[in-house]
Amino acid sequence: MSLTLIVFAVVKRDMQQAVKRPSDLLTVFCFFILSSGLFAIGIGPDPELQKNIGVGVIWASALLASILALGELFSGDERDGVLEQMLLVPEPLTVIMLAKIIGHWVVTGLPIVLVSPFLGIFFGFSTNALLVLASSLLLGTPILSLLGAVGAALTLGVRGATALAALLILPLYIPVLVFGSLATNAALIGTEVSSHLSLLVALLIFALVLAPLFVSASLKVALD
Amino acid sequence: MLKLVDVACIRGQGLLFRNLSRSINCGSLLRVHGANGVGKTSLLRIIVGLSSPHTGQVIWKQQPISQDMDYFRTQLLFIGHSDALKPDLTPHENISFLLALGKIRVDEDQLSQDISRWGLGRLKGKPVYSLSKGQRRRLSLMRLLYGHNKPLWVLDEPFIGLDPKAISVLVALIESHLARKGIVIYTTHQNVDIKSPINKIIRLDQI
Amino acid sequence: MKKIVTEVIPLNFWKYSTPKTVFPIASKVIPMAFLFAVILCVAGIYVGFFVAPTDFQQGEVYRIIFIHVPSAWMSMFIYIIIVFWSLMGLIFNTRLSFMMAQSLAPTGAVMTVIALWTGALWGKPTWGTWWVWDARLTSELILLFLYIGYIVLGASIDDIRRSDRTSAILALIGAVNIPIIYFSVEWWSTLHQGASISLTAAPKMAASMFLGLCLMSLSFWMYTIGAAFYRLRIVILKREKSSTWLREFEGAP
Repeated sequence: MSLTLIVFAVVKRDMQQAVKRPSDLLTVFCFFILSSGLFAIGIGPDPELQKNIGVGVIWASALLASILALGELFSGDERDGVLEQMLLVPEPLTVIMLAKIIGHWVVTGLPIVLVSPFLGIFFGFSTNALLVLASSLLLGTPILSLLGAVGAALTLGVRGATALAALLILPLYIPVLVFGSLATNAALIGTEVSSHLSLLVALLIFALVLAPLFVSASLKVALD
Repeated sequence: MLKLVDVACIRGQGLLFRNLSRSINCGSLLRVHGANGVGKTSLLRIIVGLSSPHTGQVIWKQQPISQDMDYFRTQLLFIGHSDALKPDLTPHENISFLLALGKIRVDEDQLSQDISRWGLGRLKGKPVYSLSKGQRRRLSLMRLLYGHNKPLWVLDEPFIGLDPKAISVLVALIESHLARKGIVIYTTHQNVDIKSPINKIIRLDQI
Repeated sequence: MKKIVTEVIPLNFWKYSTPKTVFPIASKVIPMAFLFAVILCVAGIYVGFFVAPTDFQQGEVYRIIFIHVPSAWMSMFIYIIIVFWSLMGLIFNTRLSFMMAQSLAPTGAVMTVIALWTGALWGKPTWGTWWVWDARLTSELILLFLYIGYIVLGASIDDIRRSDRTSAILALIGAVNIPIIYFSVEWWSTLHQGASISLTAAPKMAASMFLGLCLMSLSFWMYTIGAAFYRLRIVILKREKSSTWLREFEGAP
């Protein structure tokens, strides 16, 4: 019971912060749109080519935007001394960190999921493909947040933390990118989608179990 | 109640202290004393279980704290060097969050009243970044008002930045905690007179 | 009390887990390991290039396996060993385990580069392309980035205790990748050919080819042991420079 209250408090506080300082999440959101747009401009106006490459572009942009969003995930709380208070809570740290990651996903990942169908329209996707794009991102972006949190925790307080976190985490993002874009591409050419989506679900469950453990372990080491 | 057994601490390449053994009974006030860099904060972090000692143990009620960390943490109120306040949130939001983390339930109205009584009522609704250093410290220390269920208070430099009036209020809080058989461990560079039945000191530069 | 116990047990495993005892052993092992590496390498190249028959499908170009396969194996083995030492370090809190893991990483990275490089050289004449983004090649590339990330992360944290533990946690996270690399050729249909050697079945190749591969693999093992111990010595020298045992050891005739 008290654990749910703490989880609720952590998520609520991150929402309050996001509302009071919307610039942080707007940056991530705009970066996602701009980056996809830049690719489209760079490729040129050929609609067939844009349609073929759109999935990869949107997914890769989501990956990069998620890395960009990691900067303040733990470092702000560490600077203020809130993180050590979180470590001292007499409840499992993994659950508290999971709450923090969920909060982070709601403010950075969810907007990307919601705007992705509109980007898909710009790349000339069919309605079915738009749906699959959004649902694959809905399954994929939480994995990005979970893995990203591991990178942020490992590099907490290190010089050039965000760049280093990108080096550590981007390679691990590859399976998400592969299955996410396979699903959407399958929808574009009209073949079966569900197997790719179920693999994403499997990855999500895997990350949900393991990532908070690694995050907690790294944070304990970092604050030791 | 609390015992340090043969505790040693290494930071970076250097040994800060070793063979530190003390036992601290209920109702004691313990001041950790020493110049900058002798390891006062490191010792406090070892006591609260944030760091593990290089050798030795911290024992709470006959049991090493590492054995049942969750139980030990229910007994503990730690106010660290930083204030643990988020600059964008209001005093009310900050304290309410910190109390939730400490599993202390306080009525919202009660909390508003307490903030006013604590002399921060004028700052209601303002973000914490607009507060002065001393006001922030005071706000952070407000958690002590609700700390009567936590026998062990560990305070890192609690008096820093406080005005004389706030210091006397804090001293009164500490004294009443000692009177109900709590333990207070603190560091300070200021000379603050706290009346306590058992007064102890660890001089880290002499170990 | 404790002292008596250590004296009663004849062989104390933990005795070999301190830098003090390993340092002199490492000093002795290094030249031997490198010597064996050279001898085995010469023998392996002789068998591989002059004794083993030409492959009826791929011609002479297949001979690159004598470097490609051992380096690819080593790139995975070394990572597994790093994971093992990292786990030991995190569980038993032994400094030496972290040092071992860190000493292995650069060799692992080099092996991964060799495997990727020779793979590309082999791919061009047989598949007609230097590189494809298939599962095995991509996961091997991820392995290279894991090695680099492991080395960079360890180097960018100043506090040794934290640096050791944080990079060990990263090693554990990356361990997920190893089975993916190994089984990728079976799980996904790719250009990369399946394994010709397995523990459970007789090798699907000529005996001399197999002998060449074994010799080269052993040579790579020896090189890895030598290089890892060499680096371990440097790490110990750096970290323990203030300790008395090292001064005594160096001062001894």
